[in-house]
Amino acid sequence: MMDEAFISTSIKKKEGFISSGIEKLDRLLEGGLPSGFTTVLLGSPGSSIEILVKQIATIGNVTYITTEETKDEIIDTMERFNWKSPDINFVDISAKYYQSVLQGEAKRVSVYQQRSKLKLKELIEIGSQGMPSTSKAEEDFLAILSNSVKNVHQEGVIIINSLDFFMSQYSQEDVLKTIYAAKVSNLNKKGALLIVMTKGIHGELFERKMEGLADCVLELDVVQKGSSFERFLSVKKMRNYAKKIGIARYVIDDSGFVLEMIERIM
Amino acid sequence: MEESERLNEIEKRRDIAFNVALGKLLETNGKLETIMQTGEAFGRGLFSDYIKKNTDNWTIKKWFDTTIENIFEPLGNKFEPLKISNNEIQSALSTCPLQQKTNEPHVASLFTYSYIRGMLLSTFPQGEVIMEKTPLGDEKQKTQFIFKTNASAKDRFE
Repeated sequence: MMDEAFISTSIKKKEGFISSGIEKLDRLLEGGLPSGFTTVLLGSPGSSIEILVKQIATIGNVTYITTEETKDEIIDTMERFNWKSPDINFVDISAKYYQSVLQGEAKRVSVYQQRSKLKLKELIEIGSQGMPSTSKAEEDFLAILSNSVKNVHQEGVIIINSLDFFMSQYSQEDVLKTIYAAKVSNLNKKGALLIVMTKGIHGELFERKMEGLADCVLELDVVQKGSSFERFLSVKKMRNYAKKIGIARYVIDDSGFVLEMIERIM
Repeated sequence: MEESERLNEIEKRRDIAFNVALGKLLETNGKLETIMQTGEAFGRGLFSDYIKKNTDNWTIKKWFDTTIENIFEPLGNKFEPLKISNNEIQSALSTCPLQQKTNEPHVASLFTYSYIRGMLLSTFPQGEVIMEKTPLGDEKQKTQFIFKTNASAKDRFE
């Protein structure tokens, strides 16, 4: 059986496009992602969007800004799928964030015990009622994002997984400004900027703003059909390439993300 | 947009966001932090879409009244103010429909706390929401919410 990493690297690069590393996705996009494009990947829980972005990351020359999983967790998943992970620069915001939360939690337990003389068991009980607060992290994660994007090489791929984290920490305006700056930087470097966000949290207005800012919008959905679930990837927007709008069914198997049927809408 | 339509829209939006949070909780094998992050992101979105346009000169009282009118009432959350000062409001949450309608009341509670926190921090970045279970007189135990515009380190770690 052909090695998946080999398949990724063996896909022929089309001039002016950056391959996604997934042959059928490139075919759906008729060559891959046009250089300089900002792509928003909108996903629902259960759509396995995180597997898709990890597979795209295997193409190399990638800066992977991770907020939900640590670098080690990502590498573990890649190894499970037998994907090689060459030339990935991880910006591990997740590890930094969880470290600050853990520190905050330790202080919280200590202060709480000291002040209320509650036993740890009672504290856990209160915690399980879903009432904890977290410490305000001291790191400026938007600045880390911004600097990481600036340091990307020419024609480099930037993956932000995911925007949800920044939206939970900063105002929409601040996040949009940073993303717009990242878009301009990516355009100048003729790379590919991929931004992952979950559908349904941020409101239609913000989703529309992001779709307006993006050059390309890919949406991953899960639809229940009887007792089974089907997953679909739709190309909702492709600036200057109207005929690329399409939809495809996909599954996740041992090799990763596999597109099955492709249907062109325009 | 009709008032009833708008109310329905906020409720629908809350339910979608809550279901997304539940989905993310499953995907991350139960990391409660994902509920916090999803809730806070949702709260910041609510602030941006429904509250921000009302005023720029915020006081905690103005924030509380505006949020009750635009968000809490449409969502059926009933807050009773107990004590109001320049930079702090103590209040009791007596009704939280999301907790009552879901099979996951603990997650609903955390999600509710998180989106309220997201809305407060959008207005007062140095603020904090503190929750306490407080018996109020002879009444049934209620959850007390303390909204602060400037939180101390102790507030943040409690």
